[in-house]
Amino acid sequence: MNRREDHIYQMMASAHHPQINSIVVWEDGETKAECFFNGYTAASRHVIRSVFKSILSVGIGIAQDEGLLNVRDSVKKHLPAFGEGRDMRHRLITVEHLLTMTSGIFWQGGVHYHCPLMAAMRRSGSWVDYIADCMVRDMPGTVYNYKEFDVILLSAILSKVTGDAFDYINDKLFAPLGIHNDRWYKSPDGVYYCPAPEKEQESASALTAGEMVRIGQLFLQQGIWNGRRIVSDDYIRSATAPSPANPGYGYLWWLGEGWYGCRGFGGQSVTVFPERDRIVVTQATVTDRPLSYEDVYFADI
Amino acid sequence: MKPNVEIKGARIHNLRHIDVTIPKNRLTVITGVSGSGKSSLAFDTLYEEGRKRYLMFSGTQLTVESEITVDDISGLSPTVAVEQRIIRQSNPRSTVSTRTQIEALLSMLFANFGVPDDGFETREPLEAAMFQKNSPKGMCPRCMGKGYYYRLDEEKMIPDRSIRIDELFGDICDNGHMWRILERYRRTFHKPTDIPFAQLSPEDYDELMFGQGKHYQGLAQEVIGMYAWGQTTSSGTSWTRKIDCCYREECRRCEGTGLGREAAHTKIGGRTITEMSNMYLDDLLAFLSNLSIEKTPLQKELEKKLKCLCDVGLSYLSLHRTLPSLSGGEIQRLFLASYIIAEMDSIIFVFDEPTIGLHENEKQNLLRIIGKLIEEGNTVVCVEHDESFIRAADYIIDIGPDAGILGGRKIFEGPYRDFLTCGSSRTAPYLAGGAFPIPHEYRSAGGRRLSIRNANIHNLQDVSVDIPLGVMVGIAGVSGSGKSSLIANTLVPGLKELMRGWCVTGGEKPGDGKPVDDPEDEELSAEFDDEEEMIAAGTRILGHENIRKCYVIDQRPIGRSRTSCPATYTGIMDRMRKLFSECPEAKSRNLGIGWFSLNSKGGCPACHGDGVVRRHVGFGNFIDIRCDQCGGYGFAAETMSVHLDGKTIRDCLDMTVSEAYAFFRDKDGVIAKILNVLIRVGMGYIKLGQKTPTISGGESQRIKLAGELAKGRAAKEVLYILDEPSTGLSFYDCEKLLKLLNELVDMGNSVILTEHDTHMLSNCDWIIEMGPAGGRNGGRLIAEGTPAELKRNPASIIGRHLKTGEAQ
Repeated sequence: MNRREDHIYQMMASAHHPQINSIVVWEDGETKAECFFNGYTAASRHVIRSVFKSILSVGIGIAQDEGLLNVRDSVKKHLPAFGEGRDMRHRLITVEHLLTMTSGIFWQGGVHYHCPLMAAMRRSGSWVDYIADCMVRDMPGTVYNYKEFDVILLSAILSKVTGDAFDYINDKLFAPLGIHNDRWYKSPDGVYYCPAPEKEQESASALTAGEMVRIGQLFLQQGIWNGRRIVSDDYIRSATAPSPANPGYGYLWWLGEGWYGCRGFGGQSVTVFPERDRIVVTQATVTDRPLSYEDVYFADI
Repeated sequence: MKPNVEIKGARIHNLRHIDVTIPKNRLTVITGVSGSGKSSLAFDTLYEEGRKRYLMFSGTQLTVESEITVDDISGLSPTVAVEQRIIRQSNPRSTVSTRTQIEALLSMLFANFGVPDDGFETREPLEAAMFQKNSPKGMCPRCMGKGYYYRLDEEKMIPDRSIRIDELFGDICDNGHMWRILERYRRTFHKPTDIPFAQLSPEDYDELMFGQGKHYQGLAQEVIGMYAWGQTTSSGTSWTRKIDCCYREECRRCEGTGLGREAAHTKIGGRTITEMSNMYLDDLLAFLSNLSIEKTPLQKELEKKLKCLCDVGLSYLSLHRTLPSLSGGEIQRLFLASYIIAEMDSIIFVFDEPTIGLHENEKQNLLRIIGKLIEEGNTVVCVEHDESFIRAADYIIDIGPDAGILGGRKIFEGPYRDFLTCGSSRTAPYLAGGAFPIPHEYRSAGGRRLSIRNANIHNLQDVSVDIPLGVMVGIAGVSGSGKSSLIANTLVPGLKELMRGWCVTGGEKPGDGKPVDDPEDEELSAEFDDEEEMIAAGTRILGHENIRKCYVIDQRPIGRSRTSCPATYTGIMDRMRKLFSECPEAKSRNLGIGWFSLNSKGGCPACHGDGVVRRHVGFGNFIDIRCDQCGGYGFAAETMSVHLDGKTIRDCLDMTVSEAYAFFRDKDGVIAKILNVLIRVGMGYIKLGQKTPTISGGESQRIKLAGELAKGRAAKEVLYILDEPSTGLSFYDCEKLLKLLNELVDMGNSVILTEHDTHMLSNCDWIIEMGPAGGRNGGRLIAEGTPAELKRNPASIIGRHLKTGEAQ
């Protein structure tokens, strides 16, 4: 145990965060501290929840680099259900709106995914069709509203342009970074989506703390991994730039003063501090309450 | 327990320090002319005090009155009131089902016993909330539970791309509302509107059509909004009706049910919850009782509630009927039903004209229910004008003798039989018989008529009827028999379509573009959701060329704003402001018209014209404290320093119409004329500044009638359509109103009134009677003719209650 790890354990002893299972600090090209709690180890796989969204965003970036799609594409170009005029404003929704949670599609239920609309969508059997039937409440691009619908549509689009979103991300992102992931949950109409409705299926998107660090590292290194370009720095710049409707949000990446990162329900986090060449990762047991550990993400550790 | 409620020194409003005794466990009726102080005694004294004491005792609320309105009340028990004016509701999402909580029971029944159609089975059973279209879990995400949406056909809206944006709808664009929409577009995007659509880039076109959210919603939304607004019978104006590029579509996702697909395809006994909600309540009750499912407490409760609703005379309603579409009387009976269900005793119930909207036959039923409440140990106090109801009272309190400052005294108190000989009462002589004028002969129509052919809306069963013109026609029939369906839902929309701007609903100015001005206004957008009323296909209206103009005078409120009142509605306020601003005191200090308006400079800066400041005193409790700065007057100090003949503008607003008439008679001819008409429609007692929410539906209707009459066109060949104009009127005031309506007819106009009051009906020249019962058992024309003819007609139900000149 090094001094920094010692410091973290001491801090945690008095921080009253019994759900936190791992804290990793990466700085100046190497892991500086790795602390595990509640029996977790460096090899333990842990649910990532909405960190999945940020990973999907990287997949969209790679597909754009390869010319398979463009963030300015209208959604109806890839999903025919949005070209049927079910709602007049469907034709205005772009891939970029989905990436910035501004599709304007009706959504109720806060940031949580145990919401009535999601439950109805799951029962419907055809997810994309269900979402295409929902009213467009706000003018696309004008109102930020964090919702699963936009992510589900993005996942459907990525599968549409690549053949299979999981295989694509596995080949183009996970394999080069040495990340292992089981095949994700697939909806009845073939849309990959994590977190899955059932606990067992959700374990498919589980990552180790070290793998989470690598996602942050890829962005910190402007998309280069071991000398090879994985995703363009153009895309990374756009993904981590404030979006018009919410300056704290980019392309499914969260932003703040001096940092950007991924957030998953219950304390799953990757926080990248580009100017300090630093990454902090946490993983925590999910409870019913939306816990967040700002004191840890931004601690001087 | 004390045998009586004793009220000592009641002096709120115009009450003159009166003492009354109300016997407990009895039916007491308070009578008197309109504005005599009946409601002040029943609601503002008895009910308010009872409510306040109960809330204080239970510790749920603390209110401190700024004024003492009564010396002492003893013998009080918890008091419940159903006052028509406070329960008028405008939320279109609240329905008979939600209000009575039958929706909750029925959806629980479906969650437990529902059987899904093939292909709609779910892994887990559906929750009760999924059968409720107002709940986020049950609501269809496409139509938000409404079952329909409005759509816009862009091709039809812009058939020719060479047309200029600001000439899109021809003369509609000259309308203020459309102009303001385009102005918002110009301001938001800094782009011109005097160019053809063809010159817009695709991006520009989308901006114009869809806006950017906050400041400019886009033409598509705005036009749909105007169209939707134009579709409502009451509010549509001629120009909104010209929009033909929009249409209403049944929601394709939920097939009009407003529910999620699984819930919409779950049945009990072969019917979905939507089908059940569309059934008449008595049919639904019979259907549920015959179900071969186990009788759970849940189902028993459901049946009990439905039975109660049928008992109070609402069996012809369905669960999905919205509260705003119900009449005041229907809402009152809905509330009454919920009290009966509660089975309480020792409660004091205070009702406001419970017989409104009830046919003679149904009144007996209501009296039976009230009798049951009393039998169970409750006390019932009613403000009532109805003859048969007054006759049934155990005890009478008469307030009067006249309205406003000429009223407020106790004229009589005692049993009914002693009341008949009370000479100083304005009501007793009518009850003793003979006082109400009954015509000896009827006017004849002389051939001019309006004809309705094949009316089928709601429960109407292919009704064809001729309505004679140039006379007074009464539409009679038990509740739910189809009176409103025939007139308000068939004749009126038909005439609106045929006569365009020449058929108007009282209170709206043709071409007035108020509707979607402020999209944030909840109440206005709620109005978009009003049920669409258009004349049904296949139904024809003939003979509209026999009338020049048609005024529909309904019971909707006369204004929605915080400061609207009879003075603002009738236009008196504008002239008063001018009079005040021309006073030397105003001129010398340069106080213009705006200083005499609560909404402008004249409003007290501290309370914004309310006169009271609401203070939070902790734990969710508030007290209203008279505003220090204006002393409760609502006007700024400068305004209050200006006097017209010794009166401030506040003094004037506190005057009743009759008092104001005396004051303004020689000051302003126009004001005097309007006030005179108000007096003649029986509104002499109302205060010029009385706030809209405290004005009943019947009062609103008479103010609107006065407004139309005061416009002073030497009108001929005009048709006036009124809905139960006797609502809230004593015999004395009814007689005055009849006189006015007769004058209109004698001048060559026509009057159609839907009515239950037998005195009013006896005074009609021709009666069209619908029936024989409500709901599916109604919807037919059962009798027509003069009151005398109906009296002899065995098919007529109302006939035997009518009075004729010959009989007397």
